[in-house]
Amino acid sequence: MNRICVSVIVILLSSFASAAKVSGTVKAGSPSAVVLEPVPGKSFPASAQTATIDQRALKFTPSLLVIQQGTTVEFRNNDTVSHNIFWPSISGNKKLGRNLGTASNGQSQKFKFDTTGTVQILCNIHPEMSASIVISPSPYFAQTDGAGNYSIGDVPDGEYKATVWHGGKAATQTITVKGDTKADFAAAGK
Amino acid sequence: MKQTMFMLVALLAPVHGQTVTPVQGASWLTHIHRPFDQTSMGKSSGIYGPKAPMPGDWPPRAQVTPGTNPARQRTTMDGADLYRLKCRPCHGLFGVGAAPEIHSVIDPVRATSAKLYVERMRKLGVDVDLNNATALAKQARLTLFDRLHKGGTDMPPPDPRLTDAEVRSLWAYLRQLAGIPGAEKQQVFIHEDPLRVGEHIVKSTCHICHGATGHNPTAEELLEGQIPPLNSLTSRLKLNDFVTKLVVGRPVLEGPLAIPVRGHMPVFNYLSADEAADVYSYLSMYPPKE
Repeated sequence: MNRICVSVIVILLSSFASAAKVSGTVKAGSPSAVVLEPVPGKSFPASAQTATIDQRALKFTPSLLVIQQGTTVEFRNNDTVSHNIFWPSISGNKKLGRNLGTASNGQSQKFKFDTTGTVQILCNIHPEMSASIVISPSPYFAQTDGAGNYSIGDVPDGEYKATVWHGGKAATQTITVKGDTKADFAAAGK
Repeated sequence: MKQTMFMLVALLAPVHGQTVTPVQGASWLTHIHRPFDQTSMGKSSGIYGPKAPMPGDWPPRAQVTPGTNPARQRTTMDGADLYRLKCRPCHGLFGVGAAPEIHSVIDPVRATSAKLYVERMRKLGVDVDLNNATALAKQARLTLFDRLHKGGTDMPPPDPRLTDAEVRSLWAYLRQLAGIPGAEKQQVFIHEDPLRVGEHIVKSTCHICHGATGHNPTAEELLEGQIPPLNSLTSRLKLNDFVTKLVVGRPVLEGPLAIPVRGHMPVFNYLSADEAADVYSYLSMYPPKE
């Protein structure tokens, strides 16, 4: 019995030790996204979660959404007019472009994003509407708050390729996570 | 010359199935539970038309006399005229609407052009193929035609229901208005009866704010914001005064002392005196129904 208790404590302690928080500021401001990808590469089980992008007053909300690969995004039309949802490519790959068609008020469309990359969501009817989806290969990602701050929890120690997305541009740098880690990012470059 | 005449005749598509019916029911604003003073029209209330005269100068003289075209049996119109009668009161001269209340018609119409879509994507740095562009343009066209036939959450369905010729004519002008290349050469002309013209204006413009029937408000009730029903208009005003009210504006008596004021109603100075008279004729010959 004592041996079992000791084992549980050891497991708990070890899990606390690896559950580091990576936080900091993206100086480019908000909305920005930070995605951590383990180095060397590691695959994660696809997410079964659902995220939502709303359409209201000729705007996509949120205008930036970060999801894990495998997440299904629901596009809800809560506007007074119909909207068309399409994206010409994912990270420039035109074969991954999709046209979900047109939805009127009260209707919604769903799509499961199985490929990592970035997607620019557009409405053909209203060209001023635009949103970005960043599809992360790992569960370690976050969006900045209004002040440009971000926080990613439960990140195991190790080396990561950190990519920050802002305004359709991305910048990557390598960071080392060892316990709670602070990592600030300048404006995304390209 | 002969060729031009032939083309003109070919463009004069006959209008079939023009069944004129009375306007009926509550105003569109009542239907969508929106008070007049919360609309773009209502917010500019009191700025239209001539200034109020001194009480001694009441009633003001009619400024406009219709009937300059006694042979007015049927009139030839194009899509620009139909747009003016049906869409312009809300979407404006250039089709851009009045944000955030009324959306622009320009982008939804431009979305129906595959060529414009390809240009738009190129500006975004995306090279798209024509098949995708054509599919998107077709979807946009279906969406727009659906809206033209059924209306939307905030937009009334077109009443009277448009004939095929009217739809073709209006559609051709919407494309021109949106700047789709070559659209100006594809305009479609139609014939419209004067009563049909009156019906278009009443149902697409007047009925947005005025209910079909109801209590004829007193001067005090007008001051409180009540809007006279359509069935009271021909008894409130004689033809010339009515036409004046529509196209140049005319003061109104309001308040417990029935003082002349500028009034709340917009002035529809883009309507001709004959078209305003068509409204009067239509309301007289087809009395509004509850």
